[in-house]
Amino acid sequence: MLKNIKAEKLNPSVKAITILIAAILIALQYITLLNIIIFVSSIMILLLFSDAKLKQLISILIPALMAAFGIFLMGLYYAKNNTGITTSLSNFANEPYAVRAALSTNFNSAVALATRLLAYSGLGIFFALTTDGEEFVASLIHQCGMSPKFAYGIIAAVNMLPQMVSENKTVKLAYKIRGIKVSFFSSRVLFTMLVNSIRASESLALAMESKGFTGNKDRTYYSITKIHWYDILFSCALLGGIILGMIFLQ
Amino acid sequence: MNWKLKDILMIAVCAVLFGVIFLGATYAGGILYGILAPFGLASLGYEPFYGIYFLGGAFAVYVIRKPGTGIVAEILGAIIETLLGNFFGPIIILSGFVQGFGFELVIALKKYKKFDIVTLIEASICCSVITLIYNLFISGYNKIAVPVLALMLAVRIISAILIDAFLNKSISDKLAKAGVLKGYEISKDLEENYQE
Amino acid sequence: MNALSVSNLSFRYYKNGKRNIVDNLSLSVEAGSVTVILGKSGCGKSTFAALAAGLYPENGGFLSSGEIEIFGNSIKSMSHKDRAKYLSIMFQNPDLQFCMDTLRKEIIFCLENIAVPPDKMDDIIIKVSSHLGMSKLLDRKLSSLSGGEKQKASLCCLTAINSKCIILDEALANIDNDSAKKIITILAEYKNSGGTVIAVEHRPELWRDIADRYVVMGEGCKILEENISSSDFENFRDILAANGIYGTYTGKNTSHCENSENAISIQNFSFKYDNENKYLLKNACADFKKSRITAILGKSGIGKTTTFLCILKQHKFDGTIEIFGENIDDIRENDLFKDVGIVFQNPENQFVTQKVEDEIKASIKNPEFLSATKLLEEYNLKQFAQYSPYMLSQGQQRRLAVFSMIAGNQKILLLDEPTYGQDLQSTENIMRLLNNKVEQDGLTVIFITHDEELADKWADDIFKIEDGKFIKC
Repeated sequence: MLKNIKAEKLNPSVKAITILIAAILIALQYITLLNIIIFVSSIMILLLFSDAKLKQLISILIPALMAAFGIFLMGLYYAKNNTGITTSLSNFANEPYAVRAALSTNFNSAVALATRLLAYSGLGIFFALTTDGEEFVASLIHQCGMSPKFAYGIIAAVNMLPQMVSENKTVKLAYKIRGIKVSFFSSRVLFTMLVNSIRASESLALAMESKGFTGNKDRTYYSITKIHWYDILFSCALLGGIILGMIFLQ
Repeated sequence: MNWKLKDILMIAVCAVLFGVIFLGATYAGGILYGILAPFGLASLGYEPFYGIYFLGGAFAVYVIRKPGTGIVAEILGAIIETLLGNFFGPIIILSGFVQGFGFELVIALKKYKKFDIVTLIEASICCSVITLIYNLFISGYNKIAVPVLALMLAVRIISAILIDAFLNKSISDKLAKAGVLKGYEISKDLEENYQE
Repeated sequence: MNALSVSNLSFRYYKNGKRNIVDNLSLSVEAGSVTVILGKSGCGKSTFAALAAGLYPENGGFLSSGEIEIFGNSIKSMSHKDRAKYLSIMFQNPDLQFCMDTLRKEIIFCLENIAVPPDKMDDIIIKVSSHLGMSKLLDRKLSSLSGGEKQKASLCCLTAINSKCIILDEALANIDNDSAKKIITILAEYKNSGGTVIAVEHRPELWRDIADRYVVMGEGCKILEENISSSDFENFRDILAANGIYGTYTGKNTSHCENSENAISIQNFSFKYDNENKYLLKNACADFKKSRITAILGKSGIGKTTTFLCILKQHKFDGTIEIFGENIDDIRENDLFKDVGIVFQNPENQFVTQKVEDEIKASIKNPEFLSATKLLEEYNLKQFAQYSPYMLSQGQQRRLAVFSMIAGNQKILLLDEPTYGQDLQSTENIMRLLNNKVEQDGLTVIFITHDEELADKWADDIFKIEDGKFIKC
């Protein structure tokens, strides 16, 4: 029974909108415990009720943890303190790290900032690892009224990615072979890649339209994403949980 | 505006491209992050790349020059980022909207008629300010000391001006001059020079 | 009944443009026939194909006059959805035809476009994919298929839509002969079941068995001949050759001196694509002789381009590659690039500047000996010196890409399908230029092609890649 509960079954649009509302609720409070609960339970649900691979989870979690640690440090060093007077760089910069941390009255702010970011990323990672891209776009058509023109435009562009990566290598080689140095971010390479992208989008548009694509809603669908009772349940549980937390954990 | 499929694809494919570049830039961001961490300024390491975040909208509105293009381009870009697996998930769709709005606001106030470098610089500044205000609320930056916020804003503005005003204009103008953007508003005055 | 009927069609890219891309064209194509349209590169025949499908002027350009009817209906009154049931196009570039990532999803996309009921879709998918021998590839990533497979996948989609007429816009231009012949066999069946085929082509001989009629177009799609049949095709060779459209290659006069020295020597050479386990080449060996022209043939996707990338140290491989006797592992990238140049398949990937003139200048390492202006004059591109390279026609771009590499004075030049999509005349121009460089400066040329006749006439040595090895022909 439990094995049949999968986060992948949730309607992607409902999932996305619920998470968006949750993010706004999170922005309204600084309850550290609540933020931690949101982060931990997101990851737990991900591990227990989804097919996400641990390796995937780790590779997406690392940049999130880095960002959270970064904002933690910033809060620790440079938060507005309670009296409203800001601590300046010179007061702290010369002290050893442990001293600075211990002396800091900013610890609470730092934790609040970092855990808020973790709460966001917990929800974001939950979405990213349990949502199929094409299904998300399909549900944008069916549940959010997005025009198929935009929806298939997005899918087509994302599917260009492998080609773009290999083209990027070719373009860089073209410069190197002429003895022109290019770095990871080069406006010359960007220019050639943009030429390619714009030409590609023109050809792709012709190819799609040649195959009868009008971009309007006068089409059939092989499968249609729907909203089920469990989508509503998920939505209520997540948002209700956060609101209760905001009230009782204050 | 009445969107054609090829316009949507142009914006979306370029958004994927900018996404790829942004990913490359985050590696450099990681190094900067490491360097700044001992000073408690690790988060500042991301700021120099904010200009790339805004580029999708800035490029689209500069090339197509019609109401809504900047915002739509940023939202498309954000949906694409979500599909590619950003750890903020759908939350960045909201950020995308704010970024597109921030940049397009200045262009809209000038009734989509002025596209000189000054306008683009103003739009870059406006976009940086509005996104920082958004951060105050959503990321809790209102807990951070004002001088540090000012420093962040300054870096963000410089990044936006360099990438979304100067680089954006120079590359888009070159593309138009090369005939690659034929049919778009940016090329309107150039059409007589084209070979065909 | 006419499948396509065009009268007095004039089209230009800009309202105030200097010339019409399609100039007062009238042409009709009978339903159930196979028509092959021949014409010089850049004569407007691809634009004509897009016009016939109603893709222009909606996507750009200006139609100053004319009517297009498909199966008796004016194209103006038809949506893409309605039109696709009558007519659809297979395009030249196999990489830019699909919006989904697998063939199954792409076929579903097509069926949804023409509003086929969802419960009928699976049957159609099974039917068309087994008919074209693509069943096994239905769920493979399209990006991992070879050029020939991609074009077959594209044909699958058009078959699923069940268009009454298919236009091939140089769709067979960069796939190998075997794949091209297979596609033509499928199209022959399609014709027998009542389908109409219009093929815009550079290689008329491929179509000899099934073509009912050849049409020859000049500049602006002006019709030069419109009723050549397969049987009297030989009688028109003169017209085609005189217009530089099609004919036999003249080839080089003399074979280059038999040279014992190797420019590139490849031993025990193996590599695979990124993220794949299968070796494309396995323990392959080949010697490419100095100051000679060598052609590399082989099916699409067999590893020809990647071999070039290995030689330039851009792709991992096992084994040894020596350049003039020196192992490339011991050569720094920058030094390697001084000796070896490459011309890519897509010339637009090659350009590094904004002006034709600068493009040549960027390669000239020693300005005292060479002047860019002089070279441009020599290459017949002088009138374009101030143009952006991206504004040139495809043929001109290809020449410029070759010229700008030659101007770098490398000792070895690798060319990836340098003549693909070119008419006879441009092909000959490029090959002659390379040949002169070999004779005058001792350049070593290695080029990839699908055109066996081109290899026969212009190359001193020919290698074919088969079963993971180089086989000398």
